[in-house]
Amino acid sequence: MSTLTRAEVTAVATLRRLFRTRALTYLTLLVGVASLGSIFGIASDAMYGVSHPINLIAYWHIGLATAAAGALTVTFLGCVLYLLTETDFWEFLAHASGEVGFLFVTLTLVTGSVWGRVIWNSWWEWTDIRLVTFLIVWFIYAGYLLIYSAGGANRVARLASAYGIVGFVTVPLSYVSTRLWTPTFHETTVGNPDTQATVTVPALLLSVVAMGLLYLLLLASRVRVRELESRLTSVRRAAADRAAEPSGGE
Amino acid sequence: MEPLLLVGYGAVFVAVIVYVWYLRNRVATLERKVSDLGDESDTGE
Repeated sequence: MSTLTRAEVTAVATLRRLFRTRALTYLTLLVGVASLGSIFGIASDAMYGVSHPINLIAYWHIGLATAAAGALTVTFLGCVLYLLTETDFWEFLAHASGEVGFLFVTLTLVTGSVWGRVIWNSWWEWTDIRLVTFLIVWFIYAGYLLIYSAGGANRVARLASAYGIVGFVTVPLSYVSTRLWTPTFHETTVGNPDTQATVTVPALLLSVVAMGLLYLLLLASRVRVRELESRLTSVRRAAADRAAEPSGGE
Repeated sequence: MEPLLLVGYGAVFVAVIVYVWYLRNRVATLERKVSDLGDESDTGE
């Protein structure tokens, strides 16, 4: 067994163990409740110089966006590993993470739109580069899931993986868009000393952890669905092959 | 509470609960199917 193969087997076994642990469900619930408690208990509703209760949506909006970026990064890594190794698990992981990531991107757009309706007096702003690039990410991953809906053949999986690798370019692009182009509403916050986005850091960190755990929990279930679907197909194929075999003595 | 804040958090909760319910249902259905097919092949049917 080569070093790469041994490392791969260990990685797959570790992820499978992580996905099957029940502690993940309880931890997600616990941290999720703690996150809500901190948002509605200690977080400040003053942000960008405006004090309004709607600013409290920012804590899950940012958490969802961070988890979405993580999910789509996992999709990218899964696609690369699947094309390199052709191990089914990486394809299941990439697809599952893409689906959960797509859900998180959608919820980021919904919560952001609700936030913008009150603060910017607009549901959507085409002049804001972060909004537009994030919408492009949404369309790219809608396309990725559409390719998968064509069927589970190896050719489809390889095509989707190549698409997942190329399409990933839009994710970091969206995150650095406010540095590359002039933002109108979303300002650069990380590493910007002039930022006006004053947030309650513990509440934000807790919401990022909560969303990360929720992502892992959903990913675990989605990977399990893909593995079971694959097993079912194999069992059915084996049964069909046995039925097609000529029986002895007849 | 601010109505749109309720709408925003409500949308997240509804989406997550529906998705978790769908995944749990799908896992249970597939596990049953795999187990049924396994039993059939054990008995040679």
